[in-house]
Amino acid sequence: MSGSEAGVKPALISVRPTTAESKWAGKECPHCKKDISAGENAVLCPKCYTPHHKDCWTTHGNVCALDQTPANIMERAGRAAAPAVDGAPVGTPAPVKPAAEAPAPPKAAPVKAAAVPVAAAVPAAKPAAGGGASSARAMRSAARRAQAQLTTWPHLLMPEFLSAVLLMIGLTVMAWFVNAPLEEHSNPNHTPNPSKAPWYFLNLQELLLHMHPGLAGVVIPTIIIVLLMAIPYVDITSDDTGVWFSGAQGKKVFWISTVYTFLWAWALILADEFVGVRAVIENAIPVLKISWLSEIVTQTMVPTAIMWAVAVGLYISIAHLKPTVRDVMIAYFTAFVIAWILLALVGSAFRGPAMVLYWPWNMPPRIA
Amino acid sequence: MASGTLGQRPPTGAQVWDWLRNGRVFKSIFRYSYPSDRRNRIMTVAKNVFLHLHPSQVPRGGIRVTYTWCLGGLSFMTFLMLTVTGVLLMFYYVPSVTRAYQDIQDLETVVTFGMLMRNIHRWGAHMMVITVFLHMCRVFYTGSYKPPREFNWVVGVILLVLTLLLSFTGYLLPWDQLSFWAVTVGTTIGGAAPIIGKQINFLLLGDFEIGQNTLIRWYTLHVIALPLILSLFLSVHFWRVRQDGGISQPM
Repeated sequence: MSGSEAGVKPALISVRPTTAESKWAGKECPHCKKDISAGENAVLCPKCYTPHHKDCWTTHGNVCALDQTPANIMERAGRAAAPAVDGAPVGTPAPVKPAAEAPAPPKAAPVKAAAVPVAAAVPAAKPAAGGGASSARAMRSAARRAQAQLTTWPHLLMPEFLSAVLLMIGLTVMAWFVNAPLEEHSNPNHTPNPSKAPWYFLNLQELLLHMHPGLAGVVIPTIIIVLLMAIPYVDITSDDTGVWFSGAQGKKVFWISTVYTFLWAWALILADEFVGVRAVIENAIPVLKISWLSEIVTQTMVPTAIMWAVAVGLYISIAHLKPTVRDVMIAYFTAFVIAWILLALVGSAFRGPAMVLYWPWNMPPRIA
Repeated sequence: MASGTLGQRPPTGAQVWDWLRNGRVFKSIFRYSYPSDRRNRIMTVAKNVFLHLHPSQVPRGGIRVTYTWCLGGLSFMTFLMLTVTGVLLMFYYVPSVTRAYQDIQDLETVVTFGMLMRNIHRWGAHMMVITVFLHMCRVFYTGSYKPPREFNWVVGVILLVLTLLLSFTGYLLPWDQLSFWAVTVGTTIGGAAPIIGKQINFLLLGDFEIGQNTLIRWYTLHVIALPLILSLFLSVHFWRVRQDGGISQPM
C-alpha cells in the first residue's frame, strides 16, 4: 500500500488532542515507545488506527511505524481543536445510506453530508480508482472535514437574515427622519463656493489642491487600483489566512502605520496650506516662474518625490520589527486606508469657501 | 394528515402546524420538509435556487460575526434595496434637463412615499460605499485575499470601483446645483488625464459641457449598464468564494 502507486495521494489525517477520555490515551507510540498522555497531540494511522505522537509522525517521514502507510497531517485552522458539532462523533466510518431514508441518526449524518456537497468540493476526497480502502479513507477524511462544519441553515442564514432586517430598519428610520439634500435648480452660470465632489471623491479633490490635476486625479487613483489588485500576487504566503493582522506583530505594524500616516498627512496638508510649497520653490529658483516648467517641477516632481520619501520612511519606521512581506503589506495598505479617510474628512469637514482650511465649527456658510 | 384522509375529529393545532411544514403543499414547493434536522437543512440549502449561493455547510470559525462583521452581506443587501427603490424612482423620473429637477420635487411633495424612497436610495448609496470599503478592509486585515483567493480579491477591487461609479453617476440625476457642480468637479478631474484628457472629458460629458447628453449618458449608465456589469462581477465574486475553498477561517 504505497502512496505513489497509480498516483494515489497519501491520505490526509487530522491532529487529535488527547484527553483522559481518548481511546488512545496511555497507549504506546510505536515511534518513540513512550506513552501518549493527555494533553499531547496524537494522530491515528489511517489504515490500522495505531496512535502515534503527532511530532513523531512528522519526524519519521509521515508514515505509520507499523505498516508504513503514508499520510499527511492536515494543517487546517480550527479543525483539530473544534469539538464535534451537531452530535457527530469523531471519525466514525459509517455506511452511506440512500438519501431517501428517514431523518438520519446523528452517527451517519456527517458522512451523508460529506457524500453530497463536501466530497465534490474537496479534491483530496476523490475516491481512488478501484481502491476500496482508499475510497473508505476518502470517506473518513471527508467525514472528518465535516466535523467543524455547521449547517448553513440556520447558523449562517439566521445572522444574514437578522443583519438584513436591521439594515432595512436602520436605513428606513434614517430615511424617514433625514431628507436627502436638494438644492436650487442647476445653473451653469453660477458656481457655488466651494464646489465639491461627492464625499468619497473629496480625497482626490484634496490631492488636487496640492499637485498637478493629472497626477492627483488620474495617475494616483490608477496606481492605487493597480497596487490593490497586485496585493495577493506579492504576498503569496497563506499560512496565516484568517488571523486578524496575522498576529501581534501585524497589529503593531498597523498602529505604527496609522499614527505615521495620520501625522504625515496632516503635516503635509498644513505645510502646503500655510507655507505654500509651490511659492517657496518658485521664489527660490526664479526660472520655475515659467508656468509649464513649474507645472512639471513644483506640481509633479516635488509632490512625487515627497510621496516616495514618506513611503520609504514608513518602511524605515517598521524595519526594526524585521517585517515579513505580510507586515509590509499591512503597513502600506493601512497607510492607504488612513490617508484616504483622512483626506476625505479634510475635504468634507475642513475645507470652506475657496477651499481654505477652517475648523468645522467655524465653517462659514457655503455661498450657493 | 398528509395522506389527505382527515379523521372524524377536527385536527389539533400541532397537526395543522406539522402539515404546514411537512405536508404535500410545502414539499411541492421546497421539495424537503421543514429544515429542522441536519439532513433537511443541508438539502434545503443545496436544492434552493436562492440559497444555493451558499454551501450547505460552513466552517464554524468563518461565520463568526466578529470575524466577518456581515459586511459583504450588508453590501449585497444594500445593493438589493438600491435596486428596488431605484426601480420605483424610475417610474417617476424622466432624464430630461427640462423635467428632471421638477420630477425630483414631485417625488418629494406629490408622490406617496416618494420622499422616503428617494431618501432610502440616497442614504443607501452612501451606505454601500462605506460597507464595500469596510468589507475590503476586513478581507485585507484577516488575510483573506491570500492564495487561493487572489483573483476574488481582484474582482472585489473591481466591485469597489463599480460601486463608486454607480454612486457618482446617480449623483448628477437630481439636476440641482449640488449635483451639477459636483459632477463638474469630478469630470474636470477625469479631464486632467495626461495626453487623452480632452477625449476622456468628452466621453464623460457627451458634449463640451454638462447638458442633456451628459444627463442621458449618466442615467443610462446608472440604471442599466453599471448595475448589469456589477451584477456580473457580483456573481463571479460569490461563485469564487465557494470555488476558492469557502469563506476563510481564523485559526
